[in-house]
Amino acid sequence: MNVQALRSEVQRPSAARTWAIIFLIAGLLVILAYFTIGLFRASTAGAYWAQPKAVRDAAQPGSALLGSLRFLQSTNAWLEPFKFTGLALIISGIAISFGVAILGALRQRLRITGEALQEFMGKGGT
Amino acid sequence: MPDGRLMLEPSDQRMYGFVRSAWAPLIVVGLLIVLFSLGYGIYTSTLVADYFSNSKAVREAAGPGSQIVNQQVFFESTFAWLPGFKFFGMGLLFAGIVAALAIIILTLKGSGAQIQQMMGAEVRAMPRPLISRAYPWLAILGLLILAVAFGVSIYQAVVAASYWNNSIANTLDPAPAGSQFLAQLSTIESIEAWNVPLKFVGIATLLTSISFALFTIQSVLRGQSMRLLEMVEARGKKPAA
Repeated sequence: MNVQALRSEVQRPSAARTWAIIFLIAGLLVILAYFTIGLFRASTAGAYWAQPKAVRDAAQPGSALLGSLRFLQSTNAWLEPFKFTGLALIISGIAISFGVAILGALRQRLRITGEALQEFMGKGGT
Repeated sequence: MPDGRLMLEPSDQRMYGFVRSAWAPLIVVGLLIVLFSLGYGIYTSTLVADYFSNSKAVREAAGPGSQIVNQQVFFESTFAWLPGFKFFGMGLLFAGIVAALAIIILTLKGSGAQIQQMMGAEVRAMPRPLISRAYPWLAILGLLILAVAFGVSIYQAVVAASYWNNSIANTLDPAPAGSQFLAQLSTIESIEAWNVPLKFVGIATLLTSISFALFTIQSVLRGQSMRLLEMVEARGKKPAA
């Protein structure tokens, strides 16, 4: 059993783990950006809907009120897929962790356990 | 053969006892909440269909106490609280997954200690990386965020019920600037704008907890591989008896 070779194999940084971390951080950043935009939208929505209906309906092109409505409606259209992109990135990281990183570590651990048992039984059993 | 669970540190033994009893109820309650939300959503949709079978003029002229206004009060308030409740149910499901992963981590740790003892080596606890301490707290934080979001949804539903319990044509549409009705409408819309992202922050926190638990499993497996190699090396250095 080549202990040194196995040791360096175990210590080698896992590319799958690195990718899982990258996906997790990217997903979290997207969700935090979504939350920040949500706070901004909340103040805009609060100000817009505090106006009487007659004033909202009479807003002219170029007015601040119509600008607020345009902002609220247009952000709504892209924020929906944006937030799911964030979740999808985090879940992709989880899938990589499950399917590649943990599976690799488990295989390695089982192989080393098998070899260690052989070593122990070979030396102690005779 | 020694019991692996008894070889865990006292804090890990307490955690094992908790997650072992908590994972199934978390998943069952989470699933029941999501299914209840589905049933309630289907019931609400029948009321919405009934409401929109009336003409716009009739709907907007209806006054407080009428069936049409009562229907609108019911479904507008449901639209406010039901998503918060559904997300909380999802949160419980994710927390159940974290608890199940914690069982795997603690079982792996216990079996690692067991193997060391069976091979006659000194039983050494694996170093605990920060992520292995953080994942249970992140799961609790995620659930708390979703509980707060649900609480805010209930408040939003109360405001929505009060706002919509009026005639649209006679009271809500002509409401002057600074009136109670416009303040309520402004509150409903602004809460909607930030509370939905807050629910996603809660879900993302729980998913991060799952990721951290998976990184911990990987670290435990690698740590055990290293310990096995150490044990083999130490045995090789021993003088033959």
